Amino acid sequence: MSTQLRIGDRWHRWIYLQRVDLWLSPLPGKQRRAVLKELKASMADAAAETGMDTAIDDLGRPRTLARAYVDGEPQARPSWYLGGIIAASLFGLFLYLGVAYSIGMMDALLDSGTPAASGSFFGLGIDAFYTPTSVGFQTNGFSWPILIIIVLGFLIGSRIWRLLPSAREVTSARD
Amino acid sequence: MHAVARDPQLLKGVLPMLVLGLLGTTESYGYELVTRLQAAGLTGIATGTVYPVLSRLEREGLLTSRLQESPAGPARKYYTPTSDGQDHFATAHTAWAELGQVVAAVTQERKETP
Repeated sequence: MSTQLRIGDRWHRWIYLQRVDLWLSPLPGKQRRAVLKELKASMADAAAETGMDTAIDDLGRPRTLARAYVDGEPQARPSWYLGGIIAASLFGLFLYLGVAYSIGMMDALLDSGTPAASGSFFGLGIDAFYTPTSVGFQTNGFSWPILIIIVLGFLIGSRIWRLLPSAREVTSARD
Repeated sequence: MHAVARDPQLLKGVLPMLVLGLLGTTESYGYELVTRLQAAGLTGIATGTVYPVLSRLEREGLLTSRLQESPAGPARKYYTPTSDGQDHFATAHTAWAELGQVVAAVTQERKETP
Protein backbone atom coordinates (compact mmCIF):
# COMPACT_ATOMS: atom_id res chain seq x y z
CA MET A 1 0.00 0.00 0.00
CA SER A 2 1.46 3.34 -0.99
CA THR A 3 0.65 6.11 1.42
CA GLN A 4 1.91 9.56 2.14
CA LEU A 5 1.69 10.80 5.69
CA ARG A 6 0.00 14.10 6.23
CA ILE A 7 2.02 16.92 7.72
CA GLY A 8 -0.02 16.71 10.93
CA ASP A 9 0.70 13.00 11.23
CA ARG A 10 4.42 13.58 10.64
CA TRP A 11 4.37 16.23 13.32
CA HIS A 12 2.63 13.97 15.82
CA ARG A 13 5.08 11.16 15.03
CA TRP A 14 8.05 13.50 15.41
CA ILE A 15 6.81 14.75 18.80
CA TYR A 16 6.21 11.18 19.99
CA LEU A 17 9.64 10.00 18.85
CA GLN A 18 11.31 12.98 20.51
CA ARG A 19 9.69 11.98 23.78
CA VAL A 20 10.78 8.36 23.33
CA ASP A 21 14.30 9.53 22.48
CA LEU A 22 14.44 11.47 25.73
CA TRP A 23 13.98 8.26 27.73
CA LEU A 24 16.16 6.15 25.45
CA SER A 25 19.25 8.10 26.39
CA PRO A 26 20.72 5.23 28.49
CA LEU A 27 21.16 3.29 25.24
CA PRO A 28 24.29 3.74 23.12
CA GLY A 29 23.75 6.33 20.39
CA LYS A 30 23.89 3.87 17.49
CA GLN A 31 21.35 1.57 19.11
CA ARG A 32 19.10 4.48 20.03
CA ARG A 33 19.07 5.73 16.46
CA ALA A 34 18.29 2.23 15.18
CA VAL A 35 15.33 1.92 17.56
CA LEU A 36 13.95 5.31 16.54
CA LYS A 37 14.41 4.55 12.86
CA GLU A 38 12.51 1.30 13.16
CA LEU A 39 9.78 2.90 15.24
CA LYS A 40 9.42 5.60 12.60
CA ALA A 41 8.94 2.98 9.88
CA SER A 42 6.57 0.94 12.02
CA MET A 43 4.47 3.99 12.84
CA ALA A 44 4.14 4.72 9.12
CA ASP A 45 2.97 1.14 8.53
CA ALA A 46 0.49 1.28 11.40
CA ALA A 47 -0.79 4.72 10.41
CA ALA A 48 -1.53 3.46 6.92
CA GLU A 49 -3.86 0.88 8.49
CA THR A 50 -5.30 2.59 11.54
CA GLY A 51 -4.34 6.26 11.42
CA MET A 52 -1.53 7.96 13.28
CA ASP A 53 -3.51 8.65 16.45
CA THR A 54 -4.30 4.95 16.92
CA ALA A 55 -0.75 4.00 15.95
CA ILE A 56 0.59 6.25 18.70
CA ASP A 57 -1.97 5.06 21.25
CA ASP A 58 -1.02 1.46 20.48
CA LEU A 59 2.64 2.14 21.23
CA GLY A 60 1.74 3.39 24.70
CA ARG A 61 3.38 6.09 26.75
CA PRO A 62 6.81 7.13 25.42
CA ARG A 63 8.48 6.55 28.76
CA THR A 64 6.97 3.06 29.11
CA LEU A 65 7.98 2.09 25.59
CA ALA A 66 11.51 3.41 26.05
CA ARG A 67 11.81 1.59 29.36
CA ALA A 68 10.94 -1.69 27.62
CA TYR A 69 13.93 -1.14 25.33
CA VAL A 70 16.26 0.07 28.08
CA ASP A 71 15.31 -2.71 30.53
CA GLY A 72 16.40 -5.26 27.95
CA GLU A 73 19.80 -3.63 27.64
CA PRO A 74 22.46 -5.40 29.72
CA GLN A 75 24.75 -2.39 29.76
CA ALA A 76 22.48 0.60 30.13
CA ARG A 77 24.57 3.76 30.35
CA PRO A 78 23.97 6.81 32.51
CA SER A 79 21.47 9.18 31.00
CA TRP A 80 23.56 12.35 30.66
CA TYR A 81 20.80 14.04 28.69
CA LEU A 82 18.24 13.65 31.46
CA GLY A 83 20.81 14.68 34.03
CA GLY A 84 21.54 17.81 32.01
CA ILE A 85 17.87 18.70 31.80
CA ILE A 86 17.43 18.31 35.56
CA ALA A 87 20.58 20.33 36.30
CA ALA A 88 19.46 23.09 33.91
CA SER A 89 16.00 23.10 35.50
CA LEU A 90 17.50 23.44 38.98
CA PHE A 91 19.78 26.25 37.78
CA GLY A 92 16.76 28.02 36.29
CA LEU A 93 14.82 27.56 39.53
CA PHE A 94 17.65 29.02 41.64
CA LEU A 95 18.07 31.89 39.17
CA TYR A 96 14.36 32.68 39.40
CA LEU A 97 14.33 32.48 43.20
CA GLY A 98 17.54 34.51 43.46
CA VAL A 99 16.17 37.29 41.26
CA ALA A 100 12.87 37.22 43.18
CA TYR A 101 14.80 37.50 46.46
CA SER A 102 16.83 40.44 45.12
CA ILE A 103 13.74 42.23 43.84
CA GLY A 104 12.20 41.76 47.27
CA MET A 105 15.25 43.40 48.83
CA MET A 106 15.07 46.34 46.42
CA ASP A 107 11.37 46.71 47.13
CA ALA A 108 12.11 46.85 50.85
CA LEU A 109 14.75 49.54 50.24
CA LEU A 110 12.29 51.64 48.26
CA ASP A 111 9.68 51.33 50.99
CA SER A 112 12.05 52.13 53.83
CA GLY A 113 14.22 54.71 52.08
CA THR A 114 17.34 52.89 53.22
CA PRO A 115 20.17 53.42 50.70
CA ALA A 116 21.67 49.92 50.84
CA ALA A 117 21.22 46.48 52.33
CA SER A 118 23.02 43.15 52.19
CA GLY A 119 21.60 39.69 52.23
CA SER A 120 22.48 36.10 51.50
CA PHE A 121 20.76 33.62 49.22
CA PHE A 122 22.02 30.07 49.77
CA GLY A 123 25.41 31.52 50.63
CA LEU A 124 25.46 33.90 47.66
CA GLY A 125 25.93 37.49 48.84
CA ILE A 126 23.45 40.01 47.46
CA ASP A 127 23.93 43.76 47.88
CA ALA A 128 20.92 45.87 47.01
CA PHE A 129 21.26 49.63 46.67
CA TYR A 130 19.01 52.57 46.16
CA THR A 131 19.88 56.10 45.10
CA PRO A 132 17.61 58.92 43.94
CA THR A 133 18.50 58.02 40.32
CA SER A 134 18.87 54.25 40.37
CA VAL A 135 18.03 51.04 42.11
CA GLY A 136 19.69 47.70 41.64
CA PHE A 137 21.60 44.80 43.12
CA GLN A 138 24.84 42.96 42.67
CA THR A 139 25.99 39.54 43.75
CA ASN A 140 29.26 38.55 45.31
CA GLY A 141 30.88 35.37 46.48
CA PHE A 142 29.98 31.87 45.48
CA SER A 143 27.17 29.54 46.54
CA TRP A 144 28.47 26.09 47.28
CA PRO A 145 25.03 24.82 48.38
CA ILE A 146 23.52 25.73 45.01
CA LEU A 147 26.41 24.14 43.14
CA ILE A 148 26.14 20.95 45.21
CA ILE A 149 22.37 20.70 44.71
CA ILE A 150 22.74 21.18 40.94
CA VAL A 151 25.54 18.61 40.73
CA LEU A 152 23.53 16.15 42.82
CA GLY A 153 20.52 16.73 40.55
CA PHE A 154 22.70 16.02 37.54
CA LEU A 155 24.18 12.85 39.02
CA ILE A 156 20.85 11.45 40.26
CA GLY A 157 19.06 12.40 37.03
CA SER A 158 21.81 10.72 35.03
CA ARG A 159 21.58 7.54 37.14
CA ILE A 160 25.31 7.75 37.65
CA TRP A 161 25.30 4.45 39.56
CA ARG A 162 24.91 2.68 36.22
CA LEU A 163 28.65 3.17 35.82
CA LEU A 164 29.22 0.81 38.72
CA PRO A 165 29.98 -2.79 37.69
CA SER A 166 27.54 -4.15 40.30
CA ALA A 167 24.70 -2.05 38.86
CA ARG A 168 25.41 -3.48 35.42
CA GLU A 169 25.24 -6.98 36.78
CA VAL A 170 21.86 -6.23 38.36
CA THR A 171 20.56 -4.81 35.08
CA SER A 172 21.84 -7.83 33.22
CA ALA A 173 20.30 -10.24 35.73
CA ARG A 174 16.96 -8.45 35.50
CA ASP A 175 17.06 -9.00 31.75
CA MET B 1 -17.97 -17.81 25.67
CA HIS B 2 -16.49 -14.60 27.01
CA ALA B 3 -12.84 -13.76 26.67
CA VAL B 4 -10.68 -14.26 29.76
CA ALA B 5 -8.38 -11.41 30.71
CA ARG B 6 -4.84 -12.39 29.78
CA ASP B 7 -2.14 -12.27 32.43
CA PRO B 8 0.52 -9.79 31.24
CA GLN B 9 3.29 -11.78 32.93
CA LEU B 10 2.17 -14.95 31.17
CA LEU B 11 2.16 -13.10 27.86
CA LYS B 12 5.58 -11.64 28.57
CA GLY B 13 6.96 -15.11 29.14
CA VAL B 14 5.48 -16.71 26.05
CA LEU B 15 5.76 -13.82 23.58
CA PRO B 16 9.38 -14.42 22.51
CA MET B 17 8.49 -18.03 21.66
CA LEU B 18 5.46 -16.92 19.63
CA VAL B 19 7.54 -14.31 17.80
CA LEU B 20 10.23 -16.85 16.94
CA GLY B 21 7.58 -19.36 15.91
CA LEU B 22 5.78 -17.01 13.54
CA LEU B 23 8.96 -15.61 12.06
CA GLY B 24 10.15 -19.16 11.54
CA THR B 25 7.35 -19.73 9.06
CA THR B 26 7.93 -16.53 7.12
CA GLU B 27 9.87 -13.33 7.72
CA SER B 28 7.98 -10.20 8.74
CA TYR B 29 8.55 -6.55 9.60
CA GLY B 30 7.43 -5.21 12.96
CA TYR B 31 3.90 -4.06 12.25
CA GLU B 32 3.16 -7.05 10.03
CA LEU B 33 4.25 -9.38 12.84
CA VAL B 34 1.87 -7.63 15.23
CA THR B 35 -1.03 -8.21 12.82
CA ARG B 36 0.00 -11.86 12.48
CA LEU B 37 0.03 -12.26 16.27
CA GLN B 38 -3.41 -10.67 16.41
CA ALA B 39 -4.68 -12.97 13.67
CA ALA B 40 -3.28 -15.93 15.60
CA GLY B 41 -5.43 -15.03 18.59
CA LEU B 42 -3.57 -12.37 20.55
CA THR B 43 -6.20 -9.84 19.55
CA GLY B 44 -5.26 -7.29 22.17
CA ILE B 45 -1.50 -7.37 21.65
CA ALA B 46 -0.07 -3.86 21.29
CA THR B 47 2.71 -2.80 18.97
CA GLY B 48 4.52 -1.29 21.95
CA THR B 49 4.70 -4.75 23.51
CA VAL B 50 6.12 -6.51 20.46
CA TYR B 51 8.75 -4.09 19.12
CA PRO B 52 11.05 -4.18 22.19
CA VAL B 53 10.90 -7.99 22.09
CA LEU B 54 12.13 -7.95 18.48
CA SER B 55 14.96 -5.64 19.46
CA ARG B 56 16.00 -7.86 22.36
CA LEU B 57 15.85 -11.09 20.37
CA GLU B 58 17.99 -9.55 17.65
CA ARG B 59 20.53 -8.31 20.18
CA GLU B 60 20.68 -11.80 21.69
CA GLY B 61 21.43 -13.26 18.29
CA LEU B 62 18.15 -15.13 17.99
CA LEU B 63 16.90 -12.99 15.11
CA THR B 64 18.58 -11.51 12.10
CA SER B 65 17.20 -8.70 9.98
CA ARG B 66 17.41 -7.02 6.62
CA LEU B 67 16.15 -3.65 5.42
CA GLN B 68 13.80 -3.32 2.49
CA GLU B 69 12.34 -0.19 0.96
CA SER B 70 8.73 0.48 1.89
CA PRO B 71 6.06 2.37 -0.06
CA ALA B 72 4.61 3.51 3.28
CA GLY B 73 7.71 5.47 4.27
CA PRO B 74 11.09 4.57 5.78
CA ALA B 75 12.67 1.20 5.01
CA ARG B 76 11.15 -1.76 6.81
CA LYS B 77 13.22 -4.15 8.89
CA TYR B 78 12.37 -7.78 8.09
CA TYR B 79 13.21 -10.33 10.79
CA THR B 80 14.10 -14.00 10.49
CA PRO B 81 15.21 -16.43 13.22
CA THR B 82 18.86 -17.44 13.22
CA SER B 83 19.80 -21.07 13.77
CA ASP B 84 20.14 -20.22 17.48
CA GLY B 85 16.67 -18.70 17.30
CA GLN B 86 15.29 -21.87 15.75
CA ASP B 87 16.90 -23.94 18.52
CA HIS B 88 15.56 -21.56 21.14
CA PHE B 89 12.06 -21.91 19.74
CA ALA B 90 12.28 -25.70 19.75
CA THR B 91 13.47 -25.73 23.36
CA ALA B 92 10.87 -23.20 24.48
CA HIS B 93 8.12 -25.08 22.69
CA THR B 94 9.10 -28.35 24.35
CA ALA B 95 9.14 -26.68 27.77
CA TRP B 96 5.77 -25.06 27.06
CA ALA B 97 4.26 -28.38 25.93
CA GLU B 98 5.50 -30.12 29.07
CA LEU B 99 4.06 -27.34 31.19
CA GLY B 100 0.79 -27.65 29.29
CA GLN B 101 0.67 -31.36 30.12
CA VAL B 102 1.09 -30.59 33.80
CA VAL B 103 -1.68 -28.00 33.64
CA ALA B 104 -3.94 -30.45 31.79
CA ALA B 105 -3.24 -33.23 34.31
CA VAL B 106 -3.97 -31.01 37.28
CA THR B 107 -7.08 -29.62 35.64
CA GLN B 108 -8.33 -33.14 34.87
CA GLU B 109 -7.71 -34.23 38.43
CA ARG B 110 -9.59 -31.20 39.69
CA LYS B 111 -12.56 -32.01 37.43
CA GLU B 112 -12.69 -35.60 38.65
CA THR B 113 -12.73 -34.51 42.28
CA PRO B 114 -16.31 -34.03 43.44
